[in-house]
Amino acid sequence: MKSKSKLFADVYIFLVLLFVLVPLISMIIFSFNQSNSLIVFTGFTFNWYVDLFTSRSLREPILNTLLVAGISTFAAVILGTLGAMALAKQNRIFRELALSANNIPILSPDILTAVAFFVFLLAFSIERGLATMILAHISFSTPYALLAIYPKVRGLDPNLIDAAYDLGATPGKALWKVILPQLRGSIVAGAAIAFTMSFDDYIISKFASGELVNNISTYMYSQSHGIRPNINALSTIIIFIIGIKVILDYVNLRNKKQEEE
Amino acid sequence: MINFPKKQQIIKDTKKLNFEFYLGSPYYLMIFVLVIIPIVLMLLYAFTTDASSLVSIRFTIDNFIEFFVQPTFISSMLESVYLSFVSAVICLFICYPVAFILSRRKLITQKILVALITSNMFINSLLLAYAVRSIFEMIGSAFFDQSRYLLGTDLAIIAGMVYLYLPFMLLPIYTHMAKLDKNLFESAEDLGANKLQTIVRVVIPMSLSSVLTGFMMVFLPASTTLVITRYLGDGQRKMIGDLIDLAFKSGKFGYGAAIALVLAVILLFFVFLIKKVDKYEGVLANEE
Repeated sequence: MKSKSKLFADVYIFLVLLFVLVPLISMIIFSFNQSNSLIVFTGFTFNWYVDLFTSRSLREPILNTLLVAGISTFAAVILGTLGAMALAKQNRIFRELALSANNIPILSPDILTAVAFFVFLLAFSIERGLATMILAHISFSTPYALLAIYPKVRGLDPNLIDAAYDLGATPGKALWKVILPQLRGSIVAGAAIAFTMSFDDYIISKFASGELVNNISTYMYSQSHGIRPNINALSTIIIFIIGIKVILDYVNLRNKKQEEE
Repeated sequence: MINFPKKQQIIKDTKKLNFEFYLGSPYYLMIFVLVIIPIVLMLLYAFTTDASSLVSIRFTIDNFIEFFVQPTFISSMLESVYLSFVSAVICLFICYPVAFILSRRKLITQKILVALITSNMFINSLLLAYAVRSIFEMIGSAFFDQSRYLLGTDLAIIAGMVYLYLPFMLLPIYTHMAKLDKNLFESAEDLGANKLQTIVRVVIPMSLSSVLTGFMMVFLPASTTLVITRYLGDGQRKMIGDLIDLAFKSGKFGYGAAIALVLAVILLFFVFLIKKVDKYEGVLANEE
């Protein structure tokens, strides 16, 4: 009886996995397709991967995406770390208030953030372009970075910091040598989330950037004939990178567990 | 005798406090300028006539009236609510059992399966929507002789929404469920509850707030999407997102801001509801 319900559970999980993975697998398969079609497979080729790195129309959106995601992640991590450290020391009312403000971009749908940012640019008549796109991305990815880092900061042992001060460290030195090394893991996690958010975004980029500057998302959306397989090639590469990351995590976790045993 | 802190001590403490305040100031400034001010301005625009500068504004509620009197707008509002509500409910029915099953497996199995099921979260949503679209085109050309046969139907749109936003339902429920104290289930059984009763009387009430969070995380982005209506709706179905997009394209900023504001009110309602339901925080185990 018990194994029957376990079998049922396994089948259920398998079906959900299938639902999630089938479109991804089809995306990967059609990145190797000889023809332009994403429906009929005609033969195997690597042409779309070559095209991805040589195509002129794709170069600018890809570079813009990397630039925007890179700069905004960097800024988000720095702002988020500093903010988390300051917030952990503030009094309760101010902290709750700041955390609520922090949650606004996370909870509100993209289009709300996008409209608000657009109106902001409009009111101060700031011209839209790459710089405003980067600013917008910083504004919505910093809160995620902060949320990833903040719990760790609160868990820091205050005695260690006091010890650093007692041993003659300046605040800057204490920050650099004592606090930051302990936060490394959560900072990396925050960076990963911020990068993903930036890479994933379409609506905010569209409203913040104007017609002339494109990242991959706005470029894809503007293609009226649909997405070509070279974009599939790009996402296959991304899936591959994420796959490696998941496998590495798995190996790490298993090693840790074996050590414990 | 009262022990006054030495003078040196006071100086040191204020120096530390100042330092931490300065440390946080770039973050506070960013939140204030790029998050708070835009929202205030959006409020302002929603209640004013379309003016090019802040000096010449006039207050009005025409933007809201225009929204509520036009039948097409009401119908696309209803359509968005209907499609995304159904999607969120389906996500819930898929994810709740998954979270429950996973939370009772070995830790390593949990991690791997959660990573796999939420893997599409890391991929650009346009690509995902397009991938689902090609699946529907394959089905269409195989069974209906016309690749675009299924696009624009409720089925395609809801499938797309469920596909894109499934991780946002699974993650909050799973995290909450994994934190639940397993002893509670055992004590329920000891007190004579059967499996079903344990689930209905213990597990569900305690995970209600995470269900609402997940529901909001699916419902709100799904109802305001631009991507799904374009790729899976094939441009035939107009939803709120498209309305706002259209308003801004045609320069009716105040009107667009008004629609966005209606959305914000719905959002606040959800947040209020979650706060209200979340009364079991104290019983979570392993809380950091």
